[in-house]
Amino acid sequence: MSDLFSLLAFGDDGWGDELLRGFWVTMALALVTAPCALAMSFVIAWGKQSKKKWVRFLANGYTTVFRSLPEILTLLIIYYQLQSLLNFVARLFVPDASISLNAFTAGVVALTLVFSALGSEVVRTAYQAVGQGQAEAAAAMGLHRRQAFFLVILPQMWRHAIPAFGNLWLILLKDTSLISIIAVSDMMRYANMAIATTREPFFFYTILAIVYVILAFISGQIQTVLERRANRNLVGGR
Amino acid sequence: MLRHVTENLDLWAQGLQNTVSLTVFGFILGFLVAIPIAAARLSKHRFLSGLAYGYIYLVRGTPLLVQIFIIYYGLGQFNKELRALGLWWFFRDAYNCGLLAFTLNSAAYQAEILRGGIKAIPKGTIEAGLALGLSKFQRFRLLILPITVARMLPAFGNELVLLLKASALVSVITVRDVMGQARYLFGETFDLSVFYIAAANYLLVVLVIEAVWRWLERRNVWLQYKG
Repeated sequence: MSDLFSLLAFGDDGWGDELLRGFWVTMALALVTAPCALAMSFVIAWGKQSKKKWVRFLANGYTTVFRSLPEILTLLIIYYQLQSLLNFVARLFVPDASISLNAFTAGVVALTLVFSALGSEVVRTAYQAVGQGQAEAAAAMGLHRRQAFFLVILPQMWRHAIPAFGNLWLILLKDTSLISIIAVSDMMRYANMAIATTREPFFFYTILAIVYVILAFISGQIQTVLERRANRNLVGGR
Repeated sequence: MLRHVTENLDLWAQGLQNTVSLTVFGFILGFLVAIPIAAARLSKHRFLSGLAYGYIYLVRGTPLLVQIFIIYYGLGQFNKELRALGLWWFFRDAYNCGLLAFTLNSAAYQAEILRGGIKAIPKGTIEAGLALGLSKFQRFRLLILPITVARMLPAFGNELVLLLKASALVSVITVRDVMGQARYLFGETFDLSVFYIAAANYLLVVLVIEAVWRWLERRNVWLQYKG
């Protein structure tokens, strides 16, 4: 058993430092994707209640497609298609240009698409939960529509949205492991490398599982704090 | 694009069959495993409910990809022991390993759905069952389970779609599902359109699932009373 744990040593003869480097890539991917997806969720949710029919159609189609496709398929399509698209655009300006898209960027774009599709539903329900009355009251107070949204509605939406967003964050953390498939050196990929030389798959995958569970636990704690904060001004609140 | 479909029709059919069978069997087996887990979770024994909670937490806290790898590659490391137990034929096959991973994974999620549903059943229903002299098992089979399933249908439908999407992960452990066939054909032709064909396949299956679920939900409206 102690032989196994010596495999996790930092330095040349252990995989500890590689796994840690991979861990930071995993965290970076999740932390870069989350705000992008959050912002995109609001845009899509806004599109869903637009007065223009074609905007609603596009926003609903976006949600349906990215909610139905497997994440790994979205990831591969984005990875290859974005690359050829970029090259196509670049060749319009420079005849023999060749851009190679960073796999990490492809991962951020793909995960943003998937999670904004899911997040837009969260935003939509939270918006409805706040209620039309709030928007009308803000209008009666003479607030501009943008002021009404940012000062009155948005602060009240968090209370309804945080549990669902917390769930999405957990799913996002887990889905980051998929980018090892397009050769980004995340934790999963380093574990695979370690397994290729040490032939100890059970040990390394168990370590990975433990790391993910710890991340889920920490996220849960942070979520509890955020929920308490979002509910702090609620008189008689739960 | 159509050329890839017509020339490899049998490949795509095989892929679709693998995807659908993995999803459907994983869902059904997961449901069967979820029943005892949900029962343990709701049990008054602290040890039993703690065990079920721990299982659910572990499964929901780790990526399915890691779970699949642990079962396929991780257990493969113990092939001597598995051979001695006579289980090697099962774990040697990537399809079986994928199905086992889906079953164990979906069971955790479905157990949570069941638990929520069972807790929301009105007391009067159980009391009515008691008054009729039904045994504990009869109350579960005739009252609790059908009402819970009917009320939780939307959640189960969601879980089925999630499982369908997750099934694409088995392509990583060499199973030729829709995703696996797309990756194989992409390796042969370097033509991106195979991925769009795969996407169309998945969208189609999701549409079918949604249609079936709408029909099921309409059929079971009478069970969804909020009494």
